[in-house]
Amino acid sequence: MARPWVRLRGREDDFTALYRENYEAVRSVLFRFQVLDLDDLVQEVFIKAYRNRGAFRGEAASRTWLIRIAINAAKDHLKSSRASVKTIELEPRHHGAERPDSGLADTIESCLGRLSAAHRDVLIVCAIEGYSMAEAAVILDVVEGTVKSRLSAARLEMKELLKREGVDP
Amino acid sequence: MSSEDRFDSFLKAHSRAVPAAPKHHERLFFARMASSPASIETWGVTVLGGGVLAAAASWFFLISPLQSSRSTQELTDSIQTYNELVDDTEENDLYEVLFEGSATRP
Repeated sequence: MARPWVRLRGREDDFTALYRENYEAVRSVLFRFQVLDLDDLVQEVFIKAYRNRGAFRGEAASRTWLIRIAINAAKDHLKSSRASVKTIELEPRHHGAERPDSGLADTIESCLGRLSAAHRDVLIVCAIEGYSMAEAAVILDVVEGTVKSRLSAARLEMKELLKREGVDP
Repeated sequence: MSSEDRFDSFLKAHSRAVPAAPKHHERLFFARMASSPASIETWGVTVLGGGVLAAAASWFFLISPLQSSRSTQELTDSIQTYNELVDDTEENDLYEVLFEGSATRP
């Protein structure tokens, strides 16, 4: 089949290349939001990106644009399936790659789930996924100063939650 | 390394690893794209275009000639009525006919 094309940053890019370059990053961030049907949602994010390609103004990198779409999609997904998410919180996921310290991974996931949405988002984007504050500002649609203050507060809250669970980071 | 960086590294290192991607995910994705949005766009444009074309054709071939003939017929009838009135009415009464109900007489 003919592959679709998308105009990004004033040049014609192969949408396939965009998909290949960003697939892992989009999937990773969606995984952190503990969504159901991870791979289905990854596809939806790229479909949304393709449909909204006209809205991409080229002011940011295509990756931050995609991650922003992914986070919004994850939030919508969580809202629409809140009951199912509660089930996930009670029963830790086992489809992730197992590690010897999977108990600690469960605790981290559980604590992340207890943070406020704003703190959870900034911690996932900056601390776990490694985006810079400038990138996070674009992704989360807030100014950089807000990212900085939220991140600082989110770290403190997360440390406190982990300590209560007997984890001293 | 600052304490903040150390904490971030700790979270990153101990968070659950992302599970392996499904095989052929790219092929599956583009198959889905082909079956939904592209098709919807194509069909949307086709249906919309077809609808507009059909409406334009209907107006051109059916409604427009009818309106045209009706208008012509109405004009002919009006002229005929006017002529009959003029023929049957005294000049002084013509104003009454033409400005029936009007308070001011030009």
